[in-house]
Amino acid sequence: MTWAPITVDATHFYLQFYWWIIVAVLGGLFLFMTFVQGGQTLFHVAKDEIEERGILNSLGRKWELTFTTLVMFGGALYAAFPLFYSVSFGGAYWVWMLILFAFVLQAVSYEYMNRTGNLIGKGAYKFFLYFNGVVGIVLIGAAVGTFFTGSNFTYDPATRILEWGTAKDGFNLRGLEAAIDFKHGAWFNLAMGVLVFAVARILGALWLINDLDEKDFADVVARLRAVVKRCFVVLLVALVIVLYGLITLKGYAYDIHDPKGTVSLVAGKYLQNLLAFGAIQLIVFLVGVVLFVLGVFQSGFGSSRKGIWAAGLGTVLIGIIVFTLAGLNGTAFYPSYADLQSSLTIQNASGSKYTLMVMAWVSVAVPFVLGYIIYVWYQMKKQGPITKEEILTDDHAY
Amino acid sequence: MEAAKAEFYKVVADVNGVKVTRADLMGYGYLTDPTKLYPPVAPVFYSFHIMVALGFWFILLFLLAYVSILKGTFENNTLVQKLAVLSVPLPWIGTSFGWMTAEIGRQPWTVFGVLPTSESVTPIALQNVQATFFLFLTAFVILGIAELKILFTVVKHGPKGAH
Repeated sequence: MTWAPITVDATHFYLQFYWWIIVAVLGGLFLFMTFVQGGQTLFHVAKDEIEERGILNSLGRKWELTFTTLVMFGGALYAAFPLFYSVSFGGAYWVWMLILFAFVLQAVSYEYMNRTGNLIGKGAYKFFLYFNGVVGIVLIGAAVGTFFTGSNFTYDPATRILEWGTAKDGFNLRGLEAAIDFKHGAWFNLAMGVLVFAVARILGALWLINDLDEKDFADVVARLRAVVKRCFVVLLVALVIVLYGLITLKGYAYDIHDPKGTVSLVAGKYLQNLLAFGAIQLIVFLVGVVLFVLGVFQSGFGSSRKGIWAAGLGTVLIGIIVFTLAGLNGTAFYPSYADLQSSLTIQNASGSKYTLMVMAWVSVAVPFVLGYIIYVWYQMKKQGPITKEEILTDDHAY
Repeated sequence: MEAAKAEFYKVVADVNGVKVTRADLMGYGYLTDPTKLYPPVAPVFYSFHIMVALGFWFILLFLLAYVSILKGTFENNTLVQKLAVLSVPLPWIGTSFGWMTAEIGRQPWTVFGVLPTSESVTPIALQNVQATFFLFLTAFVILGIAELKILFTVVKHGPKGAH
């Protein structure tokens, strides 16, 4: 199975590169915004109803932005690289459907949880939020893991026929095999899932420490600091496994100038990528790690409330680097271990030059949207942390 | 690639001696029967007309309400009030019929003239789609009932200051 020759048109290539960078930035921003999902797994730190509503209201003011960021990230990725959309959504069907399901449940829970007549009771909605925070996030993390370990598919560009899994099996797991097939890197995918989950939970705790009033919610904040410390240990373990994987896994490499784009396995590929482009990625990655650790120490081990900002920025930077490692420098971002030549690269999976060009012009508006979001966020933050009084008197409180 | 090229330029029809290739036909080459060229007419016709009729009904209803507010008779005008209550589910019905008009009406194309729906669908085992269908159906039915219960609770409670 060979690919249609890649037309190495410089403009088209730069557009593909540009769009992968945008995808990486949106991915990094989404990773930061998962503090909402992380926070949704922390209701147990509340010991009474008012404390619980404090957490719910703090997250409830941000969950839509996380949702929108996820949609932007997915939208950009799918629109710029449509072959990835059709291969992964059609192939890893169950992974995407379960992620979708976890996010559908989240959407209603904030609105219904504390309403009278909500049919299945508050506990059920709390469970939905928990489900979204654990299952949704671990699955997304594991799906990103497959960007490095590969998936089980063959795609023939001539006939446009996609086959996912092996038909002989009888039962096709449709992507869920990424979590149980240890021969093909399930350990790495799972570690990635746990890592993203630990990051989300730490960010969730840091966010709540920042957003809840120190006096009103003193006990909650103290318990959240303990959560940060505990999750940091889990994060370190998962991180060691992920870093071990990135160093030892063979990467799916191709030559960007090769018209056929032949993919081969190269040892230490991801380490090479980290050092490519004048080691800028290594530098950004290290800055991200330092900022993240700084945030954890500020608010997890120290008594500052501001840890979320350093840790959040660090998360964005680390997220960007994870995606650039997976897709740039002649690396197949959605590799197939079943058939190397079926692997998707930013060059063979992208939209046409025309499409990417039009999208690139539209993307000029992104900074304005981002600026608006930051402005509104700042205006909301200016009113100070959430107090108990505010929750009891505000008609719009969740 | 060669196989794809051969397939693309294969002669698929002969119209009075003019050879027609798949490339000439683009998406049409996939269709086997002229009756598959257009969508089922009745559902598109009726769904579209129901949607439009509802749209005009909403305009009329708002005019009625507006006039009675101008006249200051709205609070005692039980006819308009009853019509308003009865119209609560209609926007939902209108939206659904609108979707049906668009999605049935576009058949058999995903991309007009280029990609038929039958070719763009993922070849995935039916059981997968059935399972997700019922998963989402169950969730949406439960959440739908919850939504209604919350709505009715709010309605029963009445507007602020009514008590």
